[in-house]
Amino acid sequence: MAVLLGNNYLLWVESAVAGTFAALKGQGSYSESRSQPKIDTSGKETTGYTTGAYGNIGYEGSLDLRVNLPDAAYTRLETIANVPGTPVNIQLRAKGMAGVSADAIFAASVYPSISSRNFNKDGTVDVKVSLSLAAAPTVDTLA
Amino acid sequence: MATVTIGERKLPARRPADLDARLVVSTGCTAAEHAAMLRPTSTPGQIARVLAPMLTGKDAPAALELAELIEAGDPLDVRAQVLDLLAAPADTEEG
Repeated sequence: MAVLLGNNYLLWVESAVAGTFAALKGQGSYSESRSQPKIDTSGKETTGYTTGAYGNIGYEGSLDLRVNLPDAAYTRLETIANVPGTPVNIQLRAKGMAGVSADAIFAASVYPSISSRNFNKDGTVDVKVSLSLAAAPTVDTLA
Repeated sequence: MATVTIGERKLPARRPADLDARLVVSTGCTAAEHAAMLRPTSTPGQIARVLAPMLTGKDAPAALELAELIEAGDPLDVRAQVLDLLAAPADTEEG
């Protein structure tokens, strides 16, 4: 094993053909925000220490895109994002463009949202896509 | 040949056999997916994107004009007509 490099991980979106995924063009950083609420399990009898457990895992993905058209994956993602409450399957795969389904380190049905679009002066058109879980992920294993 | 009525205009339309392919090129989604995504709250633009590849007339309006027509007409009624077209059997005649 070696130190993992973020450039090797790309977001893939399921196409109109179920089970077939395509990588979005122009991908920048992909960030995951995870949270778990803390559940206080202590009582007066726990002798001065607060004990706790963690609750359900909250997840939000955020992808920076430098839009590069034509891109069937982006067109599909944008169409779906424009209809709130419509889920799409995504995979975060290792091995860059050579990644296959077996290389997915995260796979889930998500609700996408185009959370920002920047038409930069002297620059590119940059989009930020946010992803919220529609169902528990089917793959969530980095190691 | 079916027609879609938007306000005063009657536009010839059909469900082409290759509708899925046309919609995937323009929107990334199939006819069945659009049928599920066309909701009472859909915008005229969303309805127009699905309807546009099913219009056959030589003077069929382009997508933007079509969206404006739908907005000025009755979007819910046009949505219902589009859903009927999506549910119709494919028309294999050249048009």
